[in-house]
Amino acid sequence: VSAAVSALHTRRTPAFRLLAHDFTFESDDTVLVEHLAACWSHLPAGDPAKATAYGVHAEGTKYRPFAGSVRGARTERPNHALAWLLWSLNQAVAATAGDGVLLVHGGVVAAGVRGVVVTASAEKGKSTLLTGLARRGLAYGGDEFVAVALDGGGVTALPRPPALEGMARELLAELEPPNADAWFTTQWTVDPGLLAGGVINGPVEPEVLVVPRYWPDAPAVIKPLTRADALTIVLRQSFNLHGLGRIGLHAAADLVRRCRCVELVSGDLEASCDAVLEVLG
Amino acid sequence: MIPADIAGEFRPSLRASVAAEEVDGDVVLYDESTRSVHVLNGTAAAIASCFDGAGTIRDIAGEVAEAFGQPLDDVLAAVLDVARTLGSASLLDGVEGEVAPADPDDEPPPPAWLADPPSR
Repeated sequence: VSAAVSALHTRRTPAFRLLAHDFTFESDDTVLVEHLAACWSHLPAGDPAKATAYGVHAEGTKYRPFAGSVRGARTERPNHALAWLLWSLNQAVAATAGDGVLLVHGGVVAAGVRGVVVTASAEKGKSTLLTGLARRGLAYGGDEFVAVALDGGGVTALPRPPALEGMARELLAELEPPNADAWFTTQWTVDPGLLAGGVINGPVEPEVLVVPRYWPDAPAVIKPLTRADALTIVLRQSFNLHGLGRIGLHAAADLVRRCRCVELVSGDLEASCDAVLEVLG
Repeated sequence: MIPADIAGEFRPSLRASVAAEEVDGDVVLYDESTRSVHVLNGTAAAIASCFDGAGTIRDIAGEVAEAFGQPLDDVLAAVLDVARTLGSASLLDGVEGEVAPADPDDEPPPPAWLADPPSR
């Protein structure tokens, strides 16, 4: 009976497509479903018939996440359930990269079609910088996944919503999602449509490649990276280089050849944005 | 052969699994068999570009010394150094380096943030 009651209250998002992965999200928390639907609304529409269903349902006082046929652990903490679900979604997206693009861990913002690619390993301030730049007027083109064309090094914006952690939430407090105390205690999933620059979806001409490194309280210092060092970083941040082999190497090399490549060390978001915007010109 | 045994009569050549990209004078190598990435600066890249399996280390050093007007002994030492470094990285034919080939059936592990479920 409780399952039937829960089903009556379940809301589901439309199907979205991230890279080649079609998905929906459902929950009996209407506000959460509406928020995530808004966050993902900038992605292309997915095929409902092929979409993998993700969701979180209340089971008594606990929450149970699922990703397709895989059920996550029941937990009393809704944010744990949602974090597991979003991690599962990231895994599925990365697995669909295949051999059509070089998929790199990073994000994109753009002025028109002039793109800034930001790439770094985890917890280096990538999401904060991308969101800050979008708040300053660049179009938001995604966080976590950058699709690099195998022919020519162009990139495709995949506007997966930004995920903000730690200090970023204080700096970008106006983006706090609804019910953050329940669902988003460690990481905010925010709607990029709320950012001043809007959202871009599709091909971007990369002109600047930034490798950020968050350093608490440090002033923003930007310095050129050799293209060889930038290429090495891009290769190390790629998800599917090993499947692509030398084709992936050539794609990454084409990307860095098109870009001014810089390293940014900073603990100051506004100064970081100033520095990157100056490089973009 | 181990890298330390590389000497003047060795004919170095990059393994067929090694792909190279030149960017701004530096060269980035990617070895498909070991899935490793290496950067050579301009000098090392210029020397490595002569590693075609035809000439010996001594031949290559002689040509470079003549072309750039450098003492042969200095250039020979530099060419040996590059060859032993590339050999150690398992990038040369016939040299047993320190980087083991990857199992082609093994998927490389995803980055930690994607491999490990969230714990918080």
